[in-house]
Amino acid sequence: MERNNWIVITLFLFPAFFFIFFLLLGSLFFTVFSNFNNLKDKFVEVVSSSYFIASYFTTLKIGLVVVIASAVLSYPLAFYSHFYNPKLSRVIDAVVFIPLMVNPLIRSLGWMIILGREGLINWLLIKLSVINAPLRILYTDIAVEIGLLELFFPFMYTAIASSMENIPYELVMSAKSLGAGPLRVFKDIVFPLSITGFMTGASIVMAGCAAAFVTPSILGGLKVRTLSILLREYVDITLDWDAATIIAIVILLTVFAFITGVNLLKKLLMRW
Amino acid sequence: MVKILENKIPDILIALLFGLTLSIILLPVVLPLTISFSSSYVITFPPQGFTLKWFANILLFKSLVDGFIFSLILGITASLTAIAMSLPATYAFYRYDFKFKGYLGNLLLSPSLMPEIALSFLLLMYFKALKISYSLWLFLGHVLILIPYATRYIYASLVNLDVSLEDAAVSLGATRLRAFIDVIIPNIAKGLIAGFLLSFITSFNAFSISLFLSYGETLPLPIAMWNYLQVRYDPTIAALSTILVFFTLTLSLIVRKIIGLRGLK
Amino acid sequence: MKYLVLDNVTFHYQKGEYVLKNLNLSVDKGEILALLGESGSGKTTLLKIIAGFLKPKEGRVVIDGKDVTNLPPNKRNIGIVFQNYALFPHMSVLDNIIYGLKVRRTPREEAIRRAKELIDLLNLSGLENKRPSQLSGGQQQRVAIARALIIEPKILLMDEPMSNIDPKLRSKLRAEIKKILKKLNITTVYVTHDQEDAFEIGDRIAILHKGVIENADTPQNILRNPKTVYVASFIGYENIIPITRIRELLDLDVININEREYTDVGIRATSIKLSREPLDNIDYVALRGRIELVSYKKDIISYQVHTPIGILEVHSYDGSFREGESVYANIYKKELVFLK
Repeated sequence: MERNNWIVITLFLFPAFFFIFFLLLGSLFFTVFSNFNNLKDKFVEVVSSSYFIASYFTTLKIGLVVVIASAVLSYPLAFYSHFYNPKLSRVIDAVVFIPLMVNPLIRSLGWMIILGREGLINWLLIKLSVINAPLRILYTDIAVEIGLLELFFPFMYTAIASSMENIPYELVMSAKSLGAGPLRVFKDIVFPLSITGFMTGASIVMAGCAAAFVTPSILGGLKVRTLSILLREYVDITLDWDAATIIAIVILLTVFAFITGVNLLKKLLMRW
Repeated sequence: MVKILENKIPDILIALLFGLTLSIILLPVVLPLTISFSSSYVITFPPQGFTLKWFANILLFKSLVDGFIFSLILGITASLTAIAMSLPATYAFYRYDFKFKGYLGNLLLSPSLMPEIALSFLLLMYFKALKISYSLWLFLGHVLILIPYATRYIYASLVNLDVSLEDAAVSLGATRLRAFIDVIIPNIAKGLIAGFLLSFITSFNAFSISLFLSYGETLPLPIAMWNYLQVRYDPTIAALSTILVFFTLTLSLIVRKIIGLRGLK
Repeated sequence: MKYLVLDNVTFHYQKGEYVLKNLNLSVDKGEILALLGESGSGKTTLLKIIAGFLKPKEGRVVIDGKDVTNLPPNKRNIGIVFQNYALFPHMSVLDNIIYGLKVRRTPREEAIRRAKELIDLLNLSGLENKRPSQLSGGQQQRVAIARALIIEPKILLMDEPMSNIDPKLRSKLRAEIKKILKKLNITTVYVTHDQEDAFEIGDRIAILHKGVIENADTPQNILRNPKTVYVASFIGYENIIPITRIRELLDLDVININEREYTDVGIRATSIKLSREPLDNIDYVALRGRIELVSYKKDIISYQVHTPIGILEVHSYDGSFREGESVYANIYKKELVFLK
């Protein structure tokens, strides 16, 4: 039984939406438009600087690597645990969001301990006589990618696992009855039907990697520079706030473009 | 023969993947715990010796102790505010139909889609220009990013409630307000608490949003820890991490208990 | 005595389409009125208007002589049994039942005492401390009824109470509910889309169609004398013939029926007898026809007979007629109804 009492509705919606309009949209439009001419002039300068181009590519590259790595890790696990071993599903679900409950600094610290010169991996490899001198893992792209992988794996896994839940089990049953082993079931049935899940996961992971700051800055040291690190440099070190604004806008646009692009692709795939 | 292998290989592969995944997820959380007891002055692996002195050492750093308390207070107030604002809005979505409902719904969740660091910076510029009081910056920023969390959990517990419940109470003589208190609140209590706790954890751990909006002497804990790491690299920070891990994991276990594993979707 | 009166009630949503138009309805004290209508007929809207959750655009709602049109729902003292029962999931059965008294600040002991009476009456003893989720559908329904009755409402509104009940149990439950309502002399409006529901429980039935009450009368009268085409076909008149086709046949001028008032004639399939020679009986009108189709419905045979006035459906226990055969369809004049 409803009443379309618009006075009440507006009153209820007001606090939250005023807040969002005022802060989110307000800051966005204000920062861009109050300074528009300045920014317009500076745009080309910033975007064409080598710093920027390098950071942009680094960011994209890292994002892509993490997307692929998380998918490679998630797919078999999601597939196997959902269709063959539900107990495994529950264990993974319980464990998978732990990284998010923990401070990004703590996580990064943990990775430093694992990947550092005197860290766990090097200690292990030396102990096993695989190598003689410690490898340099920390402060490279790979370290950042591993750190981000830990952070974003839960999102990719959840996205893929959910899309698998939408696959009617009858399809798998009929494939199995026709003689298909797990590999074929995956290749022919599960993978094609879960692509949208993968795409959702990819957009979340990519967006997250583009925006991540703590993990890249600690695990990358001064060697790896992503867009967000560049942003911070402009703000705290160079104090060039116009440039910083431009970087911020670029980050927003990139994330927005990526998410919209993936959504469009999903719609196209749906029709096909 | 081949068939048996074909059945075994996946098992081994899955076991390896599972082990790998588990290590990736858990090791970074567990390692600092082990180092926090090490007696060496530098962080190395494996840890040597056993001492509790690093835990005591934390107390010597005012920035860390103050940071902890500050983050605690900030987290609680920001979460309560976020819930106070989300509750009426979410209730309106649940109860009524109105124009642009879809768009507004997405808008309500949009802060979680924005890159936090970019948002942090834009808010900085904005607050400066509007001459908003410095002490409010962090608070406002945190509430903004917490609104989606609060909304999701409150909505999840509302969405399954029969709309007729309130009408039943009203037909029996209760005013709308009374019906809300007697009928709606008890049934969304779980969602409210889960929303609060999760918002708190998010705020407590938040870094990017606090990076540019912090001002003055007191910094939230994550920022204080970051500053610490710029100059020092000793087990103190590991000891602090151990405490924090237990703290936030306990909170998230409470949330799990309240809403069950896949409880509110 | 007219206890509930809906006077010229009109309602439409913002979009402009009329949901209820100039609706008039009255219910006597202690009467059970079954409001029968399909989905989309406006019965839910009517219920909400009586309860006070919607305000009519025009017209009044009068209860016990008092105009309550502008009174909010929590002041009308109306008991509602919702379709899904709407029991408060976080309260026990007892707390659910006494809620209405709690709101009225009745002392707890007295509230519990009154609740116990209803609990006994409705066969709910032993369930007081259970949660609604632990009850069966029938038990939930009775708790919902007890909750509504405890406030001694002026009117009891029941919204499709049987929709969640196993069909096999419905008849028995209906009888029990009717017994209780009569015992307590509660004025009831019972909304349903199920004919069996309405005919078994209603002292009177009001048939609602597209926002208009086409017929409001006792069950027997409706069956014997439906007033409109919709009602006739709704209650199962198999043959509805436009009056123009049948005029000469029935010698309308003699029977003195004003053609302009009625548009159709309704004939029950059981009011037609088949014979190989026309029946020589003034109560019957004989039509020559041919059997088109023979089909079997449970224990009777259904014939589709092609006649000059159209295809008539005839039900008979005589199964001797075959498809293609020429027969006479004899229509019993006394059971004809004239419809608008």
